[in-house]
Amino acid sequence: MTSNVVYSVAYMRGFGRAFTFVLAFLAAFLLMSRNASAYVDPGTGSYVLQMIVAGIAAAGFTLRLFWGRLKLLFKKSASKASGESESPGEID
Amino acid sequence: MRVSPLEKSTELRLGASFRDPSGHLFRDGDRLFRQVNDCFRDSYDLLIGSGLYRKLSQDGRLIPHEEVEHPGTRVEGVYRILEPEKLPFISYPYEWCFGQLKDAALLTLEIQQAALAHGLTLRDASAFNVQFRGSVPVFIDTLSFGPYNEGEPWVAYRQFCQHFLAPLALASRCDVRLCALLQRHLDGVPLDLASRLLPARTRLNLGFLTHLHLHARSQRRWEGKQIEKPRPVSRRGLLGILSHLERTVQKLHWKPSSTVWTRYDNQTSYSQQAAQEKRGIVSRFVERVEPRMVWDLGANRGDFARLAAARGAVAVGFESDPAVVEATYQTSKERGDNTFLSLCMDLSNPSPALGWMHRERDSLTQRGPADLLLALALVHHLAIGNNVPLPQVAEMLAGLGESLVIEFVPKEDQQVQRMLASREDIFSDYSVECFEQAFRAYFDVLEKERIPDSVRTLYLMKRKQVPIRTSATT
Repeated sequence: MTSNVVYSVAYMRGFGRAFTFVLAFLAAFLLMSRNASAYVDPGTGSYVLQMIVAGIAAAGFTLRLFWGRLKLLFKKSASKASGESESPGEID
Repeated sequence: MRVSPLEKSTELRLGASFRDPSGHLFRDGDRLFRQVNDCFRDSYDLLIGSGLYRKLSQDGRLIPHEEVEHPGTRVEGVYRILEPEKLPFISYPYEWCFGQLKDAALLTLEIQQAALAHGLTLRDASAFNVQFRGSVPVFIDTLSFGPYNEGEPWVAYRQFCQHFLAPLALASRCDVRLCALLQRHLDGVPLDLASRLLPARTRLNLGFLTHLHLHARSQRRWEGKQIEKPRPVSRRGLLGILSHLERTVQKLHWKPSSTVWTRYDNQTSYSQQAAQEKRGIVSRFVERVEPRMVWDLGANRGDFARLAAARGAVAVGFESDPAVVEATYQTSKERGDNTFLSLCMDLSNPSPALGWMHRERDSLTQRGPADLLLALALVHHLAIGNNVPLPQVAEMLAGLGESLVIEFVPKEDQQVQRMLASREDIFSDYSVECFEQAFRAYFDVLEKERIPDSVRTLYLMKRKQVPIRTSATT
C-alpha cells in the first residue's frame, strides 16, 4: 500500500534524531491502517482528496441522516393520525 | 515429471487472475475454482463469519460458492478451494450499454456500504468484478473483501472513479460512444483525460467537480509525492463520500434521441404474415437444435434471442447500436430477464483479446463456440454494408458456433435496395447460389425454408467437423 511505502520512506529519512518519533509514528500508522492485503494502489492524490472531502462529506451525511429521521418521524405521526381514523380496529 | 496440485492450479490459472496475491481462479476440466491463499485467511473468515457473504449471496448480489475438496487444498500456502457458481457468459464493461455500467456502479457502491456495515471494505472496485445474469448484475470477486480499519480511506476510490464514474459522466455529458474508452484503458478512464473531455459546465456539478475534476487535479498535484501527515478518514466521512458517489451516479442518465427509439420500434421489413411465419420457422429450428447457449448476432431488440431463451437456452444478443442495446436492457430489466443478455458489439470489429499477454480479456471467439448462432437479417449488412465477401462471412460464423440459423436477404429485398441506392453495386457474387456455395464449405445445410410473403430464405445449418477453407478474396 502506498501509505506504508510513504512511511517506510519517512522512516529512512528520519534515521537520526527523529528515529524514535518516526518509529512511533510508523507504529501508530500501522495500527491505524493494517490493510496489508490491499494490492490496488490507492494513489496519493486520491488519498489526499478523501482526507480533504471526508470532513464535509461526514457533515453532509449526518445532516442527511438527521433529515431522513425527521421526515420519518413526521411520516409516522402523519400515518398514525390517518391510521387511527381509517382503521380504528387495529388499535388496542 | 509429476506436477504438484499447486503447480497444477497455477498452470490452470485463468489469464485475468494474477494480480491479487490472495488467490486466483483456475479451471479444471469443465469446473471453475477459486484458490484462497493463506495470506487471505483472516479476510475470508471475516467475510464468512461476519454474515456479509450470506447476506450478499442470498439476495443475489454476490456470486455464491461452495468450499470444496480439491487436491489443491492440501498444498502448503492454500487455505481454501472454492467452487463459485459458473456463469454461462462473461461480458466486459466495454461491451455494456450505459444502463448496464450504471447498474454495475451502483451495485459496487451498495456492496461497499454493506461491507462497511460488517467491518469489511472492498479492496478494489474494478468494473470487471461485475457480471450480468441476464439483466441482473452480480459481483463475482469473493477475494475483493478485506477488513476495514477505522481511519482508512477507501483504497479503491480512484479505481471506482476511473472504472465507473468517468465513463458514465463522459457518456452522459459528452457522447455515449466514449464508453469505448474502457476498451483502450482496462484500468478505467484516466481522470485527467475525463476531466479534459468533460464540458466546462460540469464543474458546476458538485459530484463531477469533486470526484472527477478535483480528483484529477489532486492526482496531478501529488504525483510521485508523499503525504507527510496523513489525517484519518472517519467512518462517517467515508460513508458520506460513498453516499455522495451514489447520488452522483444515480443522477446520471443517457437517453437516446427519440428518433432512434421510434426508428427501432417501427422499423420492419416484413408484412405481418411474414414476421409471424419467420418466428414460427426460427422457433422450429431452435427446438430442433435444443441449444444451451444461443448467440444472436445483430440482435436488434432481441426478439429472437428471447424466443430461444423462452425455450430453455441462455441467450446473448449482440448489437452494434448502443441505443438499441440500452432500450433492450431497460426492457429486460422491467421483465426481470435472467436468461437474456444484450451487449454492444460491432461484428465487423468484435472484441479482441486484451490485457497482459492478450490473456486478461478474451476475444469474442475465445468465449465461444455457442451451441447455436442466430444470424437473422445480418448477412447483407456484413456483405454489402461492410464489403465482406460471403466466404469470409461463412468462415467467421463457423468460428463462433456449432449450429446456425441464418437468413439470406437477396438483392431484390427492400433493405438491400436501400443499401445499394447510394452506392455502386460491386457485389456481383451476392446471390443465393454464391451464398449457399460459400456456406456449404463450412456447414451442412439441414433445412432451408423460404419465408412466405417475402423474398428471404431461412437456413438451419450445422458446422462441419473439419471446415474446408476456401480461398479468401480481399
